[in-house]
Amino acid sequence: MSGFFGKIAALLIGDSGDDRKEKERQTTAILSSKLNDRELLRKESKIGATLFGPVPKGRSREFFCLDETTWIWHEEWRDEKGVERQSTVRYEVHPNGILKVSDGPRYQFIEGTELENFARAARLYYEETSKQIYKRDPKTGLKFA
Amino acid sequence: MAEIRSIRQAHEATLLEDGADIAPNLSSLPSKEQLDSQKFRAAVDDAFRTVQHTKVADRHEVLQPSDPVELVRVSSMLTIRNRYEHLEGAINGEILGNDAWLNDKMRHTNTSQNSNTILSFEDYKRKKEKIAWENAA
Repeated sequence: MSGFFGKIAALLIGDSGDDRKEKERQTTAILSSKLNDRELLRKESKIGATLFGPVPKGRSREFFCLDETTWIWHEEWRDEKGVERQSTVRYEVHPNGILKVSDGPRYQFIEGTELENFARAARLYYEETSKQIYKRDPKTGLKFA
Repeated sequence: MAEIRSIRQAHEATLLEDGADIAPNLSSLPSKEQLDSQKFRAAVDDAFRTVQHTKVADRHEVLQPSDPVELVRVSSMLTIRNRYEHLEGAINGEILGNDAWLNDKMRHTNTSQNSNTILSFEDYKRKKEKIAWENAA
């Protein structure tokens, strides 16, 4: 990745001068940070997928918080005929409930056990991503010493 | 919301006809009893009690952990806050400013009537990366 960013940095800042390497290093650091958001989501998603137990063999699962009002569940698998299948579900946080939007599209406010489980999953997601990715104490929101 | 309700009603018939929903039912989550025994449960409960005393409370109303919808909302908010603060620390808040604009766009395009969820998400990320690259240049 550093080689790739290095090339980009060279394109951005030119290829002359003694301080080229230092500029390249700085630019690489900036680009790495700025492209980190997607990677954070990937990391969160890996944790999110584990909240529901082991993923069955041959399946891939993603579960992540996209923004303050949107959660995404995505699964891919092959059916008995070997055809690739996928399903995406979006959960929208509305003031009066959690709206589940699934393929179709289909819309349904979740309730009962499903709602409670979703809330529990969201809470665990926050808890685990705080600790594992952001190195923060979920209790206080402060970074671990 | 009225619009969403009408859409929902329009699709309820389909849901009933099709029987089992293809969406996950979240039934594979650990039971409440299992979670109760998890070592982090106390910490999580405390978090949702004490978090209102942190700076998050400046932006959001008092938590109601017993309300599942509120719990989801708060969890989402806290997760996003972590993500943004992480980025903010790395890039001096540059992305944070852009995100406000992008989030507005996201809300505009990613409504319940738009089934292209992932497409919108990818668009969102592409825009974000584009801005990051432009800023870097």
